[in-house]
Amino acid sequence: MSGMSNKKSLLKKRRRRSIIAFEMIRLDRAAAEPLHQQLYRQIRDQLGSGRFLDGASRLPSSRALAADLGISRLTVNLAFSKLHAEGYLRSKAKSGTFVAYPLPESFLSADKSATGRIRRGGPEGHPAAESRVRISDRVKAIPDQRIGKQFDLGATGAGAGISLVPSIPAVDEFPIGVWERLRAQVLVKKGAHLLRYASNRGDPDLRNALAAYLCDFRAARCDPEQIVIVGGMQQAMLISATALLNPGEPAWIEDPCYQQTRRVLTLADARIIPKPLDDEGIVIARSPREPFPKLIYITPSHEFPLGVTMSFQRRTALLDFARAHNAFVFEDDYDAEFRFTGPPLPSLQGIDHSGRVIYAGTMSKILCPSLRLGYIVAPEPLVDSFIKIRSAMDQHSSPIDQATLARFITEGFFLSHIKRMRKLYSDRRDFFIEQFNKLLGDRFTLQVPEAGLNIVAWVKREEDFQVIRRITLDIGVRPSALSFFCIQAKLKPAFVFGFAAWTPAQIRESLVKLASALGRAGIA
Amino acid sequence: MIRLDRTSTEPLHQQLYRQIRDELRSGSFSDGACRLPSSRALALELGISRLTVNFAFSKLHAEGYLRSKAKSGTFIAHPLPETFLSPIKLSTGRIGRGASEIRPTAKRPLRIADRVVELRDQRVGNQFDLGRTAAGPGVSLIPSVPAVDEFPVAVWERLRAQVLARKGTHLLRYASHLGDPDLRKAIAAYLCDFRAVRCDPEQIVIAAGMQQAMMITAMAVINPGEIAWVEDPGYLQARRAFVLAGAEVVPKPLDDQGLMITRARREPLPKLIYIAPSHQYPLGITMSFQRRQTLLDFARTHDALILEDDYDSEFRFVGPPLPSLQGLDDTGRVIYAGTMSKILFPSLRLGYIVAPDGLVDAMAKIRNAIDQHSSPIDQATLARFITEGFFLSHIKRMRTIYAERRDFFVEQFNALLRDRFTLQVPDAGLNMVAWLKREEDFPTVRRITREIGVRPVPVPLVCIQAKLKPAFVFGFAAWTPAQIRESLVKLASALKTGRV
Repeated sequence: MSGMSNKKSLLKKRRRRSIIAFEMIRLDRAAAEPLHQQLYRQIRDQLGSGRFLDGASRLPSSRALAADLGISRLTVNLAFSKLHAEGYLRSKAKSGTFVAYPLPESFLSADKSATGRIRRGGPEGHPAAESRVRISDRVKAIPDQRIGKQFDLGATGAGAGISLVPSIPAVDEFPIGVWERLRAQVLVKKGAHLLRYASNRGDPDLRNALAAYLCDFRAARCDPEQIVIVGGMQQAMLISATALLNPGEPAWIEDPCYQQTRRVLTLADARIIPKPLDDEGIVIARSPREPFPKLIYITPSHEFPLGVTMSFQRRTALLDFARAHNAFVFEDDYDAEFRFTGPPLPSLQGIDHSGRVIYAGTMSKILCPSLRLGYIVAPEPLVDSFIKIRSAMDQHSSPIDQATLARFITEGFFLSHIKRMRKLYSDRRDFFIEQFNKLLGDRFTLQVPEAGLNIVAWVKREEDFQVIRRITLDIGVRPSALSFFCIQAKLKPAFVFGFAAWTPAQIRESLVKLASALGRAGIA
Repeated sequence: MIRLDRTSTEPLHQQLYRQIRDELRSGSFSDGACRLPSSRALALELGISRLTVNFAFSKLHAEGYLRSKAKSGTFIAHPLPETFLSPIKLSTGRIGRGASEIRPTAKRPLRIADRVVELRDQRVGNQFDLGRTAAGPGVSLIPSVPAVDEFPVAVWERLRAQVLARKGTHLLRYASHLGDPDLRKAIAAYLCDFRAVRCDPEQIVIAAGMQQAMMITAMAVINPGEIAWVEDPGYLQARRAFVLAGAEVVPKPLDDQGLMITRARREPLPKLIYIAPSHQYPLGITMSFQRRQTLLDFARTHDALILEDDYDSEFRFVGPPLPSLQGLDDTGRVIYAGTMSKILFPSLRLGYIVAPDGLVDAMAKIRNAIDQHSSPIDQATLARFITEGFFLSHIKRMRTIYAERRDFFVEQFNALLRDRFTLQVPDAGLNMVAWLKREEDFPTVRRITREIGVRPVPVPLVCIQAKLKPAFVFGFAAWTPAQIRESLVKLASALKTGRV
């Protein structure tokens, strides 16, 4: 009798030991969180509380637990299988399911006692450098005065709001629905292969698609083997400069020019030599003692920021110069697709017979900036070097994005989107010009380029410049001051406006705001 | 001339759009005065709905093929959009597509910059297609490859759709050089809780993987010609990143406690010391607590910075991990870097740097100049993947799978290949070193592995100056037990027939 009750109480004790813990489970049928997830979470937390650390604790059967909690056995099994997969439980044949020992946390959480003073998040939690950290010279040399939050482009320069900052495309017109559908298709078709490390050179389908597009529409001469996919124009420049320049060797750039070009070349330790522009493009002039450039960086389709299209004569003169002095030309064709007057001139790369032109383009203006995809068409002997640099810099771009883009191009969405956007931008451009001249024609002279998403407005009375600049900053209409892009060039004061990212109503609203603010300030 | 095919998979409006577009492009209407029939008339004529015609017309409108005049109808645009897109083909006569003879070649031999020559990367052409060679499918047992087929792609894509729905076109714009704020917060919380890293979200810089983290770090703290210490043998790609940044790379030997801090008397001091203390690649050494302290003291005394590469410390199989070096450091001399490549999947190309305060802005400037930022959509999706608990759950699940595969690999390897190799089993990571018992077998074993497509990395390949006994680094994580067994059996029998 006493033996039996002993045995009974032992059994009861063992059962209770398993059940006790789970008496604490509270399932909320009204919650958005599925029942199995609630169950999983609560069991996990109880196991993690450390009361079952001996590894001998057995779990109730799924049947018993389901009955106890009044839920289906399937729900319990779902929770158990997740706990199993994560290493919280282990099964023993014929004796049931036990709590794993050690629990997965023990492999994951570092022993904090050793460091003693770890706190989370608070400013005192992280150590301050004893001596100031030494920053490399090239970083100090980068012409970039921003600090902290100013690096959040998303929050400042390129964000929403009607800022009329230059070089921003209308991303709200991008067919994101189509894009996501194609993405789902390539994921289904190529599966886990797209999750692996991929080619340093870029997706072969994408290279084929781009080569075909460039041959047809940009008169570039290229074979898919010459194409290297990069993470945008910026990286195209850095790779080219790194491949061709030793530290301190000279590179020519247009003055004024895209500010990022200077930053990239500085990072590559180049010696930057600014060259002036005339109405045909970069002026090829050199003082007698000046060293010859190894690399010449230009935007011939539509110079940034002045919008000059390089003349055919200047193009051939530049190619002759490059050939004669063993230099390379970097042709940045960042928004040649958006041309509004007459047919484009063929790319410099297309008229080069000596393999001296590196041609680069980007999806940032055509599709959307956040895609971070661009391409280089490299002279053949440079291709392997470019890929080696890409491999050492960051391996490659997302294979999923690349495969999606390849499909976007081959299925015709790309060309259709370009045509649609060209039409849209053309309408916005006409509207901008009309409204600007009407509202601000007294104060500015607009210089309307044949192509691109920006327009330069020259200040009629130079002495107004500072006041206008302050006002634009105050009212949140933020065209870039032309002087921001100048290195040595002394140009009359002007502002570079973007018009592409905003609707006619928004453009008008901004220009009216600017005009009335200038009127109040007595700039008339 | 319009012929619509109702049995085709191409929608009717698309067929109509395409055929009208092609006729307009053929050039027979280029005077700009041609008016189109009304949509009602055309619909009647073709026996289709007016909606279909309107669909086609509105697409042609949007792309600039048509223009409307108030009260007089729809006309053909002049010029057509092609005019603005297709350049004048000059009479160079030789512009053609793809053919190899038209590609211009440079006449003089090209001069490539010294830093590129020094990369010590002998690959050419197709060898750069990592997807096709090293990391492709197939049971190659190459090291450092995670099991991507276990990644919950469906969950990921669902979260992606959610963030796109929520943040909309904002995710298509230029974004922060430092990285998505939500992601930086989520990573900081994870690192504090699990890696005993001391960090504030403001110290985190999102990078496009470990490779870029190393590159950015080297560019931020090393001037051309200055010294960087690396482990020897070590991670080849680290050496390449430092060389590209102009550093002079000095290899340092390892003992069983980790990197040896030795220096000849006249030897210049390093500005940067690169180490993987949790689990050294390729030897798998976990750096001892004492060595960690010594290294920190050395860095403090000589004003050097340490780059701690914590690439796969999540996958630990024996005992708790040691706290990160960064967590032990009181002087702000440790730059801590991690990657999603092993935890989630390599093609995501996302990683992070935890930088001492004074370096954060410098790193943002470099990131801006290198490639601006990583995809904001991927970053926002990852932030959500972490905060909703999928991240930790995935790590735990993968640790369980890898632990099983590791045990299985060790058991099978010893059963099949014990005569020829001594397996060195590390506490953590996705790789294992197999030392050859007879050194003279090395060339034969290497040839055979290549021939049969089982491709462990020979240790001598990742040595700079170190003279180690011959060994191979095997990966075990990306393949199922059946696949592992198949490969090891193939290797064992090939070695037998090859008389090793």
